[in-house]
Amino acid sequence: MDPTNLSLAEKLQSLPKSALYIILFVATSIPLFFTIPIPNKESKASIDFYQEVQKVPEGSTVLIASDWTNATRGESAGEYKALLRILMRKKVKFAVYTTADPQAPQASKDVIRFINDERVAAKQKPYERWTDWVNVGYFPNGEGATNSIASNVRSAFADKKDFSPDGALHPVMESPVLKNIQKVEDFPALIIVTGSNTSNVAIERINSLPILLAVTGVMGPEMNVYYTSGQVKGLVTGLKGVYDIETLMQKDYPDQVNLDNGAKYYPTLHLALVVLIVTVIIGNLGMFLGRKRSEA
Amino acid sequence: MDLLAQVPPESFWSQASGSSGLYMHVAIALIVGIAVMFGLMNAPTRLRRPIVVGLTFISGLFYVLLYFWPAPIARTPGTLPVSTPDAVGFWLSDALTVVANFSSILSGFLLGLGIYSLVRIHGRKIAKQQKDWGFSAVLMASMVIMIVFGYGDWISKLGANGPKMDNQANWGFVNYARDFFFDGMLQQMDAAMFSVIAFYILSAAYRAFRIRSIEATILLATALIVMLSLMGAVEFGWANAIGQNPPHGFGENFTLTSIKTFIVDNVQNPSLRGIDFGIGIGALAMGLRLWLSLEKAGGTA
Repeated sequence: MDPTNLSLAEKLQSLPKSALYIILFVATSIPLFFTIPIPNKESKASIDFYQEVQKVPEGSTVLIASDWTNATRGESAGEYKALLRILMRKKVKFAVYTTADPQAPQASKDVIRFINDERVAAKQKPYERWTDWVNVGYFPNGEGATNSIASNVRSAFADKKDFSPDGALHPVMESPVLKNIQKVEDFPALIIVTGSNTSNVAIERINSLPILLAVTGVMGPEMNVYYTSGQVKGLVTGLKGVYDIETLMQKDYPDQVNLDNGAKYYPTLHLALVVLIVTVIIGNLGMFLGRKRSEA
Repeated sequence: MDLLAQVPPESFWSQASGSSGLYMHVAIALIVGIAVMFGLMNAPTRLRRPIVVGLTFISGLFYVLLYFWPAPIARTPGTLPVSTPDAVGFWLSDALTVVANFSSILSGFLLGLGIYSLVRIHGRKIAKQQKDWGFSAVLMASMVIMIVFGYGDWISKLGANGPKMDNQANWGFVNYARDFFFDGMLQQMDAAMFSVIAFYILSAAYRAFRIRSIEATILLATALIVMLSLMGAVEFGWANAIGQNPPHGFGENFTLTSIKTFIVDNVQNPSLRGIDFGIGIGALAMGLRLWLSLEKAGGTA
C-alpha cells in the first residue's frame, strides 16, 4: 500500500521500526554528552541499603558476591563502584567471590583498580590487595559452594589463594582480611551485586547474617519480594538505585567523587522512558482515531 | 603451584597438603573409582538400572540428611562431638565442602563435554563445507584464540610477577591479546547484545500496548505509574504540583512514590509470591521424582 494514501490514524499505528530505533538511539545517546542534574527522591530500599553499609564497623570484613559481568555493567558497575567507594572511605575490608560467571572476577578487579586510581589521584591511600581486600575467586557450582560457605566458610575458602605482597600465592584465609573469620556469621554483612539469580541461591541458603542486594532493573520486582519480607535488609535496583546511592553519598561525602555512572546514565533512562511512553500514546491515539472514523 | 592444597587436617574428609594420608586417600579413591567404572561397564544390563538408581538415591540422600539432621551450633575448630547424633552432624557438615567439590568437578566434565560437542558438530560442518560453514569456522577460531591467549595470560600472572600484572605497564603481547579479545571484543559484544533488548522492547510496546479492554487499560495505567516513578524529574515535579515536597499529611498518599509502593506491595509482590510458591512446589515434586528415579529418563542406563 502507498504510504501517502494512509489516513492519519493508520500512519500513527504503523510507524516504521527503523524510525523507532533511530529515535531511541538518538534520545539515549544525546544525554551521554552532557551532564544533566536531575532532582531525585531516594527510595526506602536504597536508603536502607546505604544505612546498612554505613553500619558496618570500621576495620571489619564484609563478604561481597560480585556476580556481574560486562553484560549488565550499565547498572552493576555503577552499583559496585558506589559500594566500593563507601567501603573504602569507611576503611572496611572486603573479600570478593563469585558463583555466577568465570568473567566476573575480572570485572570486579577492573572496578577495584579504577577506584584505586581515583584514590591515588585524590592523594588517598589505595586499597591494597591481600591487606585490605582479597579475591577469593570463582566457584563453578554456585548452589554447592553457597551451601559450603553457609556451613563452614573456612573450609569452603580453604583451597582458594590470592597474591600476597611477596608476589606468591597464599591461601586467602591466611590474609589479614580473613584470618579472624571463623564462621560466616563473623562477617557483618553479605553484599551481593548481581545480574543473575545468584541472589536467590544465597537468600535460600545463607540466613545467619544480614544480606544486602544490588541488582539490575529487571530483577527488581522479584527481589523486592525478599526485601519486603525482611530477608534482605537493603535493596538497590537498577540505575535509579545507583543514582539514589550516589545522591545519598553526596550528602555524607560532599568533597569527594560520588556522582558517577548513576548521574551519567540516569538522564538516558529518563529519555528512554519518555520515548517509550510517547510511542505507546501515539499507537493508542492512532487506534482511537481509527475507531472513531470507522464508527462515523 | 600446590594443586593438592586441602582443608586443614581436622576430619576424615581433609588431610594435610602433601601428607601421606592425603596420597593414600587419593590412591584409594582412584582405585575405587576405576573399579566402579569397570564394574558398571561389565555389569549386566538388568543390573545397570538398580546401580544408577542406588547412586542417585545416595547422592540425593546426602543433601536431605544435611538439611534435616540437627547441625552443629556455634562449632569452632577443635570442638568434639558429644553423642552419636552429634558425630553424624559433624560428619555431614565436614563432608559438605567435599561433596560440593565433587559437584564442581562434575561441572568441569560438562565443560569438556560441551567443547567435545562443539568441535564434533562444527568440525564436521567445516570439513564438509555445509551451509553457513563460515560461521562455524569463526566459532572454532574464536574458541581456539580465547583458549590460547586466556591460558597464556593466566600462566603469566602466576608466580612472583602476579601482582605486578595488575599494572598495565608490565603487560606483554599475550596479556594485550587477551585484553583485546576478551575485554575489547567479547565483553563489549556481550554488553551490546543486552542493550539491543531496549530496541525490541520499544517496538513491541508500541505495537502491543493498546487499550483494547478494561484489563489492558488497568495494565497500561499501572505500567505508566511505575515508569513515571522511575523518573526522578517527573516524580519531583508531581510532588511539587500537589504540594507534597516534602511529603506530609493525607496528600502524601498521592505522590508517585506512594502510589507505586502501594501497587508493588499490594499487587506485584503477592502475585510474585504466588508464582514463586508454585515454582517451589513444582521444583520439590520434580526433585523427588528425580531423586527416587521415578522419571523414566533419569532411571534408564
